[in-house]
Amino acid sequence: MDTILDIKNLTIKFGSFTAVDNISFSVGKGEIFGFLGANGAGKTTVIRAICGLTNITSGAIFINGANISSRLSFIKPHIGYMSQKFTLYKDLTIKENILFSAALYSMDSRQGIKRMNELFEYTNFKENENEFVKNLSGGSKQVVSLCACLLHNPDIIFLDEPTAGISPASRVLFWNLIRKLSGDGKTVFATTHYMDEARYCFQIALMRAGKIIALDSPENLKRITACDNLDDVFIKIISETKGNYES
Amino acid sequence: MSLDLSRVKAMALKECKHIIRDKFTVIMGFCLPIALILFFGFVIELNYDNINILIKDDSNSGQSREFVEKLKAGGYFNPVYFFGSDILEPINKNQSAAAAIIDKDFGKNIKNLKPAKIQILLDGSDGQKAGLSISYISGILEQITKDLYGGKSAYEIRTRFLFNPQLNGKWFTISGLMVVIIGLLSILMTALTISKEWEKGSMELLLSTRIKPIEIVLGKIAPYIFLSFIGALLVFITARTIFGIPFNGNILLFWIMCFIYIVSCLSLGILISVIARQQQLSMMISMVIGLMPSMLLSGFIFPIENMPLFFRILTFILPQRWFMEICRGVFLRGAGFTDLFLPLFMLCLFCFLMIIAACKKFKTDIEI
Repeated sequence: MDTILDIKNLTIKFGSFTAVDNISFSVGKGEIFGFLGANGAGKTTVIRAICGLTNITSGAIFINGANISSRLSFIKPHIGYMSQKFTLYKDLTIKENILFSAALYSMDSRQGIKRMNELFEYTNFKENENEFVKNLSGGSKQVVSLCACLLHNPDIIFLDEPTAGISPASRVLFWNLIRKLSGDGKTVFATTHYMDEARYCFQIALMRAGKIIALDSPENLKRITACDNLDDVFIKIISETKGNYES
Repeated sequence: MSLDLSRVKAMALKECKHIIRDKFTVIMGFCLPIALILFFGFVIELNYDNINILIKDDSNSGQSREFVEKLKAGGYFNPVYFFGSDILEPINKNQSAAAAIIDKDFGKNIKNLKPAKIQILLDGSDGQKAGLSISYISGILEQITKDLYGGKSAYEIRTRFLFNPQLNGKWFTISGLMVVIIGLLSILMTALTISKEWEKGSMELLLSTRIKPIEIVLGKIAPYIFLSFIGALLVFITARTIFGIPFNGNILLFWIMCFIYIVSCLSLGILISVIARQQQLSMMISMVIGLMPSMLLSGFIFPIENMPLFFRILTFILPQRWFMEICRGVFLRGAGFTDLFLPLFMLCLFCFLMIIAACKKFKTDIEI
């Protein structure tokens, strides 16, 4: 499998605080890569750095072989980003949000509408496009957000806690969409703190205090730790590494 | 720095929708300027009239009563006869700002064409009022002297006040208030817009796309130009109709200059927003930067030429100072393009520098 994302010895510091501590990993094209860890582990900081939103202290990030430090404007059209904090403008309608996102990628309204309809069909989204976002359910908002970040047909999609705060049923539907995207050749890089969602990933990285403490496929991690489910895997790995960090 | 106008347009359209759907912004844009000009227009009064003056008439003569009548007729004073023993007491209690003690021989001396005495006591704790009072009283006394003694001066000064023949203080304050209100409104409106995007987290999403800081800045400013322009127009109409301020200049030239002033202030607001990143902080900074220099350093109330050198130099970087010159020049003096070239040039320079500074200061990285 070709590599789409390659991170080498990435370190990010904010003053004296080290948010990300010398991490390295690669993600293959079409993979679903899960980035797991508790709040404050450094997951969002890594995603922001990959999207060029946070300055890196040392190390390098490559997307499709291009270094983001020197070729960010070239890389941006190839990435889609759905942030954890904000997804859509609540006082705009679905269509207005989508067309605004399309315009940011220099698509005119005709192209934007065409692409919106394609994506709504792809995601089986049935809501009225003229509905205000503030009136949508959490699950619907996340689907619209996903469509907004897929408008420009990126190669790799970064989803930061995409299922946080939505119902269990919506979470399942959303992950089905992620798997569908992966099946169609898109690479998905998702952070989550729900262990059950990690089973959908090809590879998962467990983060703790800015470091990656485990990196493998879910099945291999279960086998290595001799656990039946990923919750236990996570607890076991954390407890094994806890002493190292506390010392 | 390449610029994609379609992204600027998209940003501006999005901003327009936010404005239209946000009642607070619409109220701030349309109602606040009218409310401010009406409020300040009626409250700020640089002239003094109806100053309470106590009269202790020891002369009790026809001449002394004529003097009091003339004081009253001028409209500046409200004479009240005092019959007590301590005339300073009401002044100490702030019940009166001045007192006139008419000498017992006042009437007799005037009849005999001898010097007549009046002692004037003024509350010096309000220096401006005291200064104006003595100036008014001196004028009245000079007139009385001429009338009563029937004397004629060796020379006669005929004074004609240009551009404001009645020395109407409102003309001066209202034309200055326009500068303060338009500036404050423009700075406030944009000061919140980018910090709002940071607070909501939407800036993170914007910056992950191909949009550039200059496109965000221009897209943000564009709709507010229109809104501020409407606000300026409402202030202009209120000033002309309710306060009767004359307009002697070229209307097109005025609005072109007003446009540049609005863009300058909007750009300043954007710069505040870019630096502060928080709505509350942006609001506080813009109130200080928008209001204080407008009131104190623009020449609105205090003449710039009387300021210490440091503050005189500081006024050079204030758009309010330059638009104040333009506004008073165009409104009252009917000044033209050549008269106002320097203020216009300084405004354009300020506007350009603010937009550049806002783009340069626009942080594209997100801290924790």
